[in-house]
Amino acid sequence: MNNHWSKYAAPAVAALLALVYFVMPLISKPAQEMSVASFGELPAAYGGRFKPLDTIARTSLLTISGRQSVRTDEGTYDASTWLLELIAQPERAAERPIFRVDLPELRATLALPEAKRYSINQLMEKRDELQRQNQMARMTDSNEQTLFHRKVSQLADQVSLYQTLSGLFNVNVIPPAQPGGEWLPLGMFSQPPSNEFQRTIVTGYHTAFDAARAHDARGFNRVVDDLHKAIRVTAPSIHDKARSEAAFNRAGVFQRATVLYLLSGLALMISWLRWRVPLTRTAALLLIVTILAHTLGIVTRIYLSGRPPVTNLYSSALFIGWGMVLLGIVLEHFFRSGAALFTAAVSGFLTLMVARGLVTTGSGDTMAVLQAVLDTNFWLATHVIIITLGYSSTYLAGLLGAMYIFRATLTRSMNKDESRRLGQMIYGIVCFATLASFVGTILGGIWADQSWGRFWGWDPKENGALIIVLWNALILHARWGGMARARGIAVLAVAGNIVTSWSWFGVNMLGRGLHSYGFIESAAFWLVLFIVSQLALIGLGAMPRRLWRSELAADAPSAQ
Amino acid sequence: MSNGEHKPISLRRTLAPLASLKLTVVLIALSIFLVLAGTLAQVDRGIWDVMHDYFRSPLVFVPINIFLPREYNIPIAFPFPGGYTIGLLMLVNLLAAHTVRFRLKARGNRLLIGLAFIVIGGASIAWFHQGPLPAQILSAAGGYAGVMPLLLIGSLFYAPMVAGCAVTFGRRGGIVLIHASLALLLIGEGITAASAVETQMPIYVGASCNWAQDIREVELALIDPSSPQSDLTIAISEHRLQQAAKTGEVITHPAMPVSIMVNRYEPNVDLRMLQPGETSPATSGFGVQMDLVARPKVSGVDTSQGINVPGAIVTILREGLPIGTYLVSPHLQIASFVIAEQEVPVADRMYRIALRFRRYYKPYTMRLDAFHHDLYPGTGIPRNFSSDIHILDKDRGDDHDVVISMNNPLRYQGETFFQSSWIPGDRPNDPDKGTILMVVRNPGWTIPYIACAAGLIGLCYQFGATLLRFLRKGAA
Repeated sequence: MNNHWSKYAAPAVAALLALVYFVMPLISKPAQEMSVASFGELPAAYGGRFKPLDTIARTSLLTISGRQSVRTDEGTYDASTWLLELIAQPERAAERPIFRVDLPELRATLALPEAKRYSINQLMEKRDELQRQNQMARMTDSNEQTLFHRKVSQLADQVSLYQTLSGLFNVNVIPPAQPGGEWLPLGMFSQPPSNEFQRTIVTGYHTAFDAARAHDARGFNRVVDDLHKAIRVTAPSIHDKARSEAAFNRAGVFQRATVLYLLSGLALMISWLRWRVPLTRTAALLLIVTILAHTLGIVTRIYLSGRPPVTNLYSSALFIGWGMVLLGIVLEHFFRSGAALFTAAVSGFLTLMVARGLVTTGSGDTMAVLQAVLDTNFWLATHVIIITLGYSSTYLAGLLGAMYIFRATLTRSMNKDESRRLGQMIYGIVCFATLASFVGTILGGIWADQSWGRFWGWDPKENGALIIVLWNALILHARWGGMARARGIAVLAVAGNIVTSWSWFGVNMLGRGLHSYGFIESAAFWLVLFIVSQLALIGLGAMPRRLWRSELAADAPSAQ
Repeated sequence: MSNGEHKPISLRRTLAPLASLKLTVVLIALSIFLVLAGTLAQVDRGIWDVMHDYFRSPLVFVPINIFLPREYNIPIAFPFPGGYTIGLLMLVNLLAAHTVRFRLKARGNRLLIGLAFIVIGGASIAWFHQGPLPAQILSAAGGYAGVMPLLLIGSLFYAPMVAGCAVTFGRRGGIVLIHASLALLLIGEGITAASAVETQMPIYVGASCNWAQDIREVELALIDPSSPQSDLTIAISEHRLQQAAKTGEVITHPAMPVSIMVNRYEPNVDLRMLQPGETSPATSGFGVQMDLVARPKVSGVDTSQGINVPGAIVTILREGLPIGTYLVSPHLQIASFVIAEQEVPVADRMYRIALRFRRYYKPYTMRLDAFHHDLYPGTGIPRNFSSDIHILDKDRGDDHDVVISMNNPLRYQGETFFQSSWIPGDRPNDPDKGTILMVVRNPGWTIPYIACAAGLIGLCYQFGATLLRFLRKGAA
């Protein structure tokens, strides 16, 4: 292979392809087709904020079926198309199997045939039994509720969500006649409204549905365009934000970033065997393009929600990953070992996978409005950001520790220099983690003092944060006291992963009442699995040196 | 330290074991375990009980059950050092380490200058925080938005301390500051544990209130309404009631015209209407158709945020003869937060009794002019709560309006008033009836702010210096 080609051109081509991959979904489709995407960009007031119909479709579909698209024999179609069908051709939508009923007990109670998903028609046949079961479940005290009770209520909620959506009953799509007025649902206007502007919008929607029913693509597109124009006149900023949010949904930045983080990691793994220089460069460039897209994604969310980046579990996963990748790249800049680059790629991939799993928490809307006491951008921008960076850095130290243990015990790739260097990297990151988690925790205390009059209340979330600070302090003091060197620090840093996960998720699982969130059961499973894997790593790292494969094995412990 | 060389050395030898880094690591590990156990214990028990047993005690017995799924029940508990023990040992370890290991960088005049700066710095920090400036900055900027200006202006007052540490301890100045901030945090938590009082002030719209109640404690109030100016109240503490229920002792007091026998006392109850054919333990008052149902005490992570509501059956005696047996509980309310008082005829007077949350009376009154409950558009999700309050204190000459909202408390007469909750209307769409303010008295409330600033400066100093050294080495 030509030297220049492999060293410069191949990485550049890879980076270019990555860019194209990110931009591709934003390019609009030809005009002959029905532009459902444009329909999905229409704004509505729903669940406490303005959002495009596409977001409502996605979050509702996610709540009902556990995914953001509908799969049929003819193929897969997206959430906006589903919503349009639900409104314009309800009898067809009623045949789509989208309701997920996993619990065998519940299937048996409702006498449903064996299947993964059911249509609304199938469920409506069992309406009476579902209603009866739901009433009994709601009468049960929340501490006594069983999985069955929760699943019954969940299914009943999903059915009623479907029903309110089908007539756009509580989806407020009609803008106020006067600025500052209330947005109203389409379902409210059985008669055309007297106000001319509102009448235009109401008729516009009905004409669009008629056109969709008649498969009149051109007519549909024209009406939807007119609706956009009319709404934009009265509510320009709401309209434009909704449009951007729908485009942001379509772009799927974070899904695409997940793929590229994975590719970058794979490139690095191959580079250890062959083509070291070109593949390392390719991976580095891919990582840079991806972190830029990741950053842009977070910035877009800030613009859309008008909030600092971290407001709920989902966004914390996005931000923790972002911090880890960035810290990893900074480390690579100083140490040039490839190790930091690899941890950056792995952490980007893993945290975005976690974020994917967290989308279903709560209402499915990842930019949902916040409880009143959290409604303060000042504290969200300081305490939450800093504490989340504390999580990022503690995890990064843990990942570096895991890498140290792997390489030292199972491979021959480790020597004294590399051991010292990795040890230094972990130490540096632990210093940063101590700073961020300490300052973040204290700022949290000040927030609590400002809001509740109590600097420290010993509640589970505070305690979780405190344990992270203490753990990092323990690592530092163990190093300063000569109790832990490179290996010791690596093992302690891996234990830091457990500590951080406990604080991030574990404390949320303590309350019995919180079990009503469906995700907790599966999240608890993953958390336990993760903790077990970390314990296994710690065990590996604690193995006597003579069993190690790397050249560190031959040395006496003191020489290390 | 200036009076000779040999004395510090012998002191160093004695302190050496106490100053060891190994001890530090062990103490940190113990504290991690304690915090973990104290968190897990909150699954079954109230946060206040846990705080009292684990963090604010010298010794705690940790049940093994808290680490296991609830299906297992192993009735074994092991002793473990409590928060006071670990905190105190940490302080000792910290002070010993600084005495033994941290040599002074400065000598002679330089040392004097450094120490002088530290003393001036300490004074300026204390002056700044004890003075009215922080509260003024916070209120001028409108609550939490003032925290950044507060830190910025505050850092001017910290500058002499930082300079002093830099001159005296050199490179180690940062560590000294960090550890000083940790010591302050521990001391601050100690002060809070010993002296903070958290109470609740419910006010109806248009009404005034001159007391706050501690919902973690109750008292049995006997009210003598005969004086035309103000009622005379005799309050019997929760502890006394529990004791009396256990021992059967009859409670008497020279100021009470009656004596009280506590037949039954339960720390958390529900009230139950009687079925036909059943008889109530109560013979008089509102409870003659009811009985107490004991409930388990609430746990800390319970998301319903419930509180313990006690109940009791008491017999009122006049010269040894019963006047009547009453069922008393804060559950008996004539409106939300207005606990019913039951009439007790004593000779020619009508006394009243109530088991109510412990009240603290104030020298001022607060009137609620309006309560605002803003929602996110098109939902029932609250966005903000705020109370328009009028303060009246004739002695101090206060007669003015204030607004208390979420994240924006009022600091007044050594106490802080927070928007905590509200009294809803009777039906779902009725307007709210009133506000609930949380009233906190915590003499140590400024200490964490000092610790935060000192710790932040110290950490930046320490790790900043490390980073600079590293970068310089890398560049060379």
